[in-house]
Amino acid sequence: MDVFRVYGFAVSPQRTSDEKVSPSGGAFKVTSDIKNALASLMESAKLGSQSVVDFQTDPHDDSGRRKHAVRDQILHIAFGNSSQAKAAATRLANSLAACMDKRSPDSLLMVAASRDGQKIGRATLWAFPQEEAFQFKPLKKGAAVKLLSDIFSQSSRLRKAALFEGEHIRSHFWQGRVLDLQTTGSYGKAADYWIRDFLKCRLGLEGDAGTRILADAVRKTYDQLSSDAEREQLYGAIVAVRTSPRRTWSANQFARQYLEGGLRSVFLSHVSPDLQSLSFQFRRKAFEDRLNFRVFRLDNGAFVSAPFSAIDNGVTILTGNERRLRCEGTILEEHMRSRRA
Amino acid sequence: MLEKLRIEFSARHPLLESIAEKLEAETKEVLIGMPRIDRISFRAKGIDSFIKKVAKRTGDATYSSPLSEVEDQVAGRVLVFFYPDVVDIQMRLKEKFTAIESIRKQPMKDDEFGYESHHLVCQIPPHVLPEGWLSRADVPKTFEMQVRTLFMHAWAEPQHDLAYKAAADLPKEIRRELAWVAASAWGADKAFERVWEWQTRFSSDDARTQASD
Repeated sequence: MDVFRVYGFAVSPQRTSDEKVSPSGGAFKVTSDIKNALASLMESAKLGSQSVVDFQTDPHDDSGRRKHAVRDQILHIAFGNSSQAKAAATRLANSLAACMDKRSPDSLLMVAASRDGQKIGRATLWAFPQEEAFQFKPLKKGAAVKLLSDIFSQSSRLRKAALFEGEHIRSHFWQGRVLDLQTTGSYGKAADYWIRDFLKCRLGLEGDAGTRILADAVRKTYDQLSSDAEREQLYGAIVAVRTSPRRTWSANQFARQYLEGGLRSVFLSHVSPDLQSLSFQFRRKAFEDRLNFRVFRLDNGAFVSAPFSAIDNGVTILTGNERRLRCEGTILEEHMRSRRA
Repeated sequence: MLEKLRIEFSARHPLLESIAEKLEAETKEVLIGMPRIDRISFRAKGIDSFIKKVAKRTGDATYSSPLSEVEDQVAGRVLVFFYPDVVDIQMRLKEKFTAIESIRKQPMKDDEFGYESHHLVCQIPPHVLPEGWLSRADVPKTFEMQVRTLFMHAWAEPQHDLAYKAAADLPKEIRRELAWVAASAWGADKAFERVWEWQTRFSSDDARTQASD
């Protein structure tokens, strides 16, 4: 795709700021260096295969109108004339500033439009956090060091990106791809601003559906394993993901976090390649129900976890005045270890 | 050009059928626990029906990319017993699928009777798509969903076989007959709704009386 327009804005968080500072910047020349840099960023971020997001419309609007303010700006950037695109990019910069609070650093918002022939357009948004860096120059006698504060990092884990592409028709540009490494960590609600507040999107892989895919892959993996060590590793992963503070997962992230070696490959073989990197909101109950996984806390402080079909097969729930648990079986292995969340 | 389109659409039809099958399963999963659903069904648009739809658009309205623009290549329908269920079902569907368009189709004027239905146009979720689909520009990204009562459906469905182009083509008496059927369907829905509300009120009054005894 050929980049034909780019805008850059310095954006300061404004959501909780007393002193209002509007984003500054605008269009800049599309040089071959810029084109190469943007292409390199796309490739290193693997943006084309990152999480799918959908523009979220008003669920109470039954008028039949297809309304979404951010989508409209994206379309102006990809297909509009210069003044429409410039106005749209400026609106996005202002909107981003309004969504950010002091937990986020000042950032560079770059908005690029590309075209593939006549029909397919693309709008890419990048947000790079501001950092400080030392510029070093050796001199004949000694050295010169300067502190640069107007640097925006291309490789920071706080960087974000979004890509939308398609034809200029009513059913396209409702879905895009997003890179947001904060969302996929334990940053909680602060991390939602890029997808939810700024882009006004939701994850394309719905929580229950994504959780079911994860659970089904776990189950198929477990059924395939013959090694006790691998079964225990997988079992540990099941217990850990249930109680992790992280709310958003993808199959790739689950595999990287909890599984090693061959077990990781086996697990990922049960998830379609197109879905492996898609993020979803993990739903604990849906996960447990799908795996028929139960955890019991007893009055004596003991925790008993029963995977898959152990209930009524060595683990019995007795009903009466109070519910009691009876668990009986042959010990195959015994460990003492600290609990890993 | 239509012949070329027919060949291209026919080639992908098995994939559309697969999407329809998976969407039906997904919708059934999404609506588990919702009461008073009569049936959930999905279909891939027939090849002849697709070509006919594309051919109908002429002049400025012509599809520039019919293979991606026609939005009901996969479509589904949920039939429910009572009108309030239509509202509840479509809210659940909007929660679980991304709807880009929602419209309550009904006659324009208050004293008219005709087609009624709730229509949604939703993103096809990524996990029901064939591999590589998301990266292609020449494929549909959306599907249509209709939510209706049984009576709304009873009026709407035979219209396909009556095969008239526009109501204006019909003689006045026939138009009045069809309006009467639509009004009767509307009336039947209203009657059922009143009975359902009475039943619900009666059950809670009865429960309160028993509780106070």
